[in-house]
Amino acid sequence: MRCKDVGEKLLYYLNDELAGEQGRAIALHLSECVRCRRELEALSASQELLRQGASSMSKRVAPPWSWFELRQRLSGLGRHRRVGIRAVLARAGALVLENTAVQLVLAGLLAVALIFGTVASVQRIFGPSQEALAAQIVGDAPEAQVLLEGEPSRHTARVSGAVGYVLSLGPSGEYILTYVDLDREVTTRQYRLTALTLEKEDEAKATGILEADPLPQRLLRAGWVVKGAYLLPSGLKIELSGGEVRVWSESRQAGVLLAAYGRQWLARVELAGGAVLDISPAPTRTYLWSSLVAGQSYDQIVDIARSDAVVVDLMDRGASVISVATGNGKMADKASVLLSLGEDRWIVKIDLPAATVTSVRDVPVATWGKGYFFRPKDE
Amino acid sequence: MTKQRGPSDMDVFEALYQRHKDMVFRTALGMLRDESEAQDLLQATFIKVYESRPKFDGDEDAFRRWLHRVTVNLSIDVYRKKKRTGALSLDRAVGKGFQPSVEPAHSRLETRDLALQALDCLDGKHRSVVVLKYFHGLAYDEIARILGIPQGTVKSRLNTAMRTMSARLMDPRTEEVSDAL
Repeated sequence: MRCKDVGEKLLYYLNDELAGEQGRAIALHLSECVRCRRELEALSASQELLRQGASSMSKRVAPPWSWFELRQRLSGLGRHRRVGIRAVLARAGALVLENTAVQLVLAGLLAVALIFGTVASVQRIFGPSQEALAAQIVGDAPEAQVLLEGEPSRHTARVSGAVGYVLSLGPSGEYILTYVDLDREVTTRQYRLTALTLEKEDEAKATGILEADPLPQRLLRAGWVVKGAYLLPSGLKIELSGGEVRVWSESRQAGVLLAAYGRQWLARVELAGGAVLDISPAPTRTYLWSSLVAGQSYDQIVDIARSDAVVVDLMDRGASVISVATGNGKMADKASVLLSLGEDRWIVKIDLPAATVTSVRDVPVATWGKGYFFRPKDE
Repeated sequence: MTKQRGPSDMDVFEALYQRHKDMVFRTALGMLRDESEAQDLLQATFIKVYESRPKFDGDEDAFRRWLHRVTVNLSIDVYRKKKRTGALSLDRAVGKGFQPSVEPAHSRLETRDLALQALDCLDGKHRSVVVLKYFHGLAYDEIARILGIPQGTVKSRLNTAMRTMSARLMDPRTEEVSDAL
């Protein structure tokens, strides 16, 4: 058989979908042809990656507010989705109740509604819960998008009285914890949870786990190299305990950096279970730019930041620029500069059209205690 | 005797929506990769469901197939529009003079699935067979019925798609599959 003919059937051969004679002919060709063997190896790796993708995809769900959005559009209200959801809440006359009280009332109504087969009407009367409101406020706040460099994909919220605590996951895998004043519907504090240095023995363990897994083994044979590893704040959960908010991780996950063909990839490794969870691309450059409005460059935006006296003072004390980011979509006329001084961070918000600094705020960076519990630094 | 109030049209539609929304969302995400575009597509798909009020006489399988087809077709429309307006990949954007900061790479994560990233090199019609096969686990004949194409065409597109993806995985310089195929 020629390589061209084999190539067209390799996928079916890989999945045992070829009848006996054809399969044998291909096996014979593969025993003699290095090039086709490499292609089979690559096909197998791709298929494995797709299966990993399918596995993580099976956990993806439509956002919880999607039904409300759709209802609005169908009833022809036609407002922007986030504003629309607040309008739904206002219109529904959502009651501001203590969390447990809401749950009890809803449970009671649910029982009644089931009898009459009108479960949907329970939602229409009360609207989404306080937790959903807290999550919505964070989702709307520009700070979340700027800190996470994009729209959060997931919010988990807990409520105590008039305070909401929302843990949000950003598109780059970082988490922020936001405190929300539910009465005024504003965010009051935000904590950014960052990746940490791995202990030496855990770094060796993570690399060992990776190298023992068949898929990374194939990639390493194909020329990929391990560049290092660090601890990921992943799979975070939030709980309220005695009025105090805690963020914790059920699992310890490391990120092992791999490099190939001028790119970097990140393999997530479960240290406790000894498994490779998935492999995702990591950018070779960081703080990806969205569209630059009015043609400002990185340097110009930093210069705007330097026009502020507080920023000048920070830089005189040794602060350096970690990143510069512009918004996109409805935030396209905003930019932010993240400064770092020791363990502290400041975010400088800039209005691009006016070329002015609108605020300079410190962003407390959380630290991990032993056992991977989270305590805000200043509490 | 109290007459029980039956479910309204909207109640029935909501039940349908809740049952199928995640499936539609996952297809949209696989096809478009962008979360907010997938959310828009979820809406567009169900608006189409609401407006066309298809009659499947309780045949859930037929409705699901129809729903898959609508989602895929709408996704391909969006994908084609994006291609025409020239949405830039990051690497090309950097090549045109954008200046990222110099923070070390390991402090920033790109956690989008490698599999979704790899799908980038495929056009709409090749991407759809991969999404239906691997993300929804559908058989060749089912995919053929959904897309309204022969089973042989499904297999051939899948083969081309997988070979392109695997070549690209090993060498990112591999050319993308174009609509010309």
